[in-house]
Amino acid sequence: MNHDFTTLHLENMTRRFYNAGKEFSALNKMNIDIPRGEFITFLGPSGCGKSTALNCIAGLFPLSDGRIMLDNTRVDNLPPEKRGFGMVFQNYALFPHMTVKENVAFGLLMRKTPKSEIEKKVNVALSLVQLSDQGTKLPGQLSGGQQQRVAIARAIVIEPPLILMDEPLSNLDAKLRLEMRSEIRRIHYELKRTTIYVTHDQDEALSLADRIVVMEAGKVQQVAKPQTIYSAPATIGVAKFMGYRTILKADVLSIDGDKAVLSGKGLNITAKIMQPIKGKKALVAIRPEDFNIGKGENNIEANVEMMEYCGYNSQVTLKTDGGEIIHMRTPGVLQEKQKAQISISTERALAYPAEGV
Amino acid sequence: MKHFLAYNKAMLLLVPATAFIFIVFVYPFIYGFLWSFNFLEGDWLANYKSFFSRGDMYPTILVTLKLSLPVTIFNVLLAIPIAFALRQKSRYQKMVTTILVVPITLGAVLLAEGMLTYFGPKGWFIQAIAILGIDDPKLIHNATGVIISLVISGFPFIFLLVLSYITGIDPGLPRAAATLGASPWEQFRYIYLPLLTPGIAMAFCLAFVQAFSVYPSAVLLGSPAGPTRVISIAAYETAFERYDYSMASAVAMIMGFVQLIVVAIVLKLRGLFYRGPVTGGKG
Ligand SMILES: Nc1ncnc2c1ncn2[C@@H]1O[C@H](COP(=O)(O)OP(=O)(O)OP(=O)(O)O)[C@@H](O)[C@H]1O
Ligand SMILES: [Mg+2]
Repeated sequence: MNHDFTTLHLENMTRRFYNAGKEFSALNKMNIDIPRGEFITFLGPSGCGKSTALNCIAGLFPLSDGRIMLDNTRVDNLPPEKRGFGMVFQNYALFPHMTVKENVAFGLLMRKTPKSEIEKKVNVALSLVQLSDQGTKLPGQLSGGQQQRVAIARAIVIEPPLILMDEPLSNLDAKLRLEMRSEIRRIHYELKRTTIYVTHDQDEALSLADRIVVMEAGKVQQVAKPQTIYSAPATIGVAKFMGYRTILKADVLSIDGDKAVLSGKGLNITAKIMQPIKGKKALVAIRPEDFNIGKGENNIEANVEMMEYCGYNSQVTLKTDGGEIIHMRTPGVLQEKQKAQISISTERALAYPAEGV
Repeated sequence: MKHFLAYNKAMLLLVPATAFIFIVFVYPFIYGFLWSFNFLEGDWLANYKSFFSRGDMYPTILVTLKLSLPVTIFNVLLAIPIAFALRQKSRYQKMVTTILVVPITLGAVLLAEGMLTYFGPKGWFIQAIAILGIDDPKLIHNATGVIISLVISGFPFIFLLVLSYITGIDPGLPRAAATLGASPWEQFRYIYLPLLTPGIAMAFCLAFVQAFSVYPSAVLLGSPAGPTRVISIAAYETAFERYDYSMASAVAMIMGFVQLIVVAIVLKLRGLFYRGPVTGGKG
């Protein structure tokens, strides 16, 4: 395929499945333009359609609707072998009858690469994933993490213009995961390739991506830089997924520009509006580490239910008089079963319209 | 000690099956094997010597091989592409499978009766091609008749086996191959075929053994006096027309030995290929 594309356009990409006579969209009108060289991650909870999206781009699932364009060329009607996108499969899909080396060499063999060059490239790829000494084993003789690394080597060795990775590090231990993570990043920048990386691990997405696509139930919720996704989630769903653990239900008292004055169960709060609020009810999302002990912009009095020590800070669960649960993370110390005075700045209390209103 | 006892209790479960195999298979086999030698009448190899010197005996080996080997190879080669084309679950898969199960259930004799009328001088087929000006191609009472019947009864058997092997292969593997640039032919050549080979070898052996012991169609559709005088006809004649059970046992032993050689060769070749799980996922 064209290795010099400037932009990959996903236009209304839709994939429906039929199950027991019912139709359901695993992927619903995905619209994204991916410039060449970008590292983009698809992030979302299990079953939100991430793998479906990758399979559609790779050509393994036909689209139910929409188009995939490489610049001005339509590619969604091409079979996978004509697209030439590399893919690391969520379940690896290693060829069980070929050794590790043969697995990695397969793509080069299909490209009629000369023998000596295959040997060289395979060795380089295997040392990248730290498997140089496992080359003669069959996949069935490898551990899960080793198999996963063979799958990575097999996809990168063909140096595809676009590489699709479906949770490629899910089965590795913490140390190896960090090492492979930086390796993947290094390869991406060294070869100046375009990478689409699927994960449900927000740390991985935040650290790797130029841009993150947050998905939920087959729909794109937000496409933005990691910093934006982290500090300004576009919807309450994204906020929940990005670790805004405290969700307060509140009535809208008044709206003043981008601030909303709200009253909840046993608390009053002024929050920053993230999404136009039309109804009378709103939800406020707050990250645990954004709460402070003592008085501040918005003061909340609550009972300390539980304190869990987790290293350099503690996880605190509080309950307001109205029964709202607050999750807080603080290096400070609070007394269990006692009233505590905490506060939150208006900037870090994010208001969204209540779901279904 | 406890472990040892538990193990042995489990072994007890094997007793009925082992006894059954012994009574219906091992005992008659040993009995026939011993009977095939003439220990009481001087030359104990007399039956075997006689088999390999008589013009109505030893050629039956070649006649049978000439019928059963090509037919089995043909059936296998035909079953692979058809099963491959039908590997995805679909209406066609169900339809073809159902149609093919029918000849298996009919049995060789009914099939032969049908062919005798259908391909006979007064049958529809011959009448129909006569209208087109084609002479009777003589499809029965010769080797052709036996071959056709072996294809009809043997093909479905191999097809269903191969189909079950193909559908057992993880469809993610050819997909992965496709993303690595493999065309549909290359996906077949490098993924399906090597993973199928052990299964195909097994199917070949089973089908060959079945074809090698062909009897009803060789008698009814062939010319049992000459070109289709297969080894089982020789055994039957010796046992039930000449009542020479000892000689008949020798023929049966030779028949089994030839089958064994072919099966051993095929399984030996199979050993050269990968045998293991046919999925590429997390184990
Ligand atoms: N072949 C199929 N037939 C019917 N439904 C399917 C099929 N494949 C996927 N789905 C459904 O589509 C939805 C999205 O699946 P997908 O595999 O894309 O999820 P995912 O985001 O990759 O999840 P995970 O993080 O668990 O891998 C799921 O609800 C799944 O049940
Ligand atoms: Mg997935």
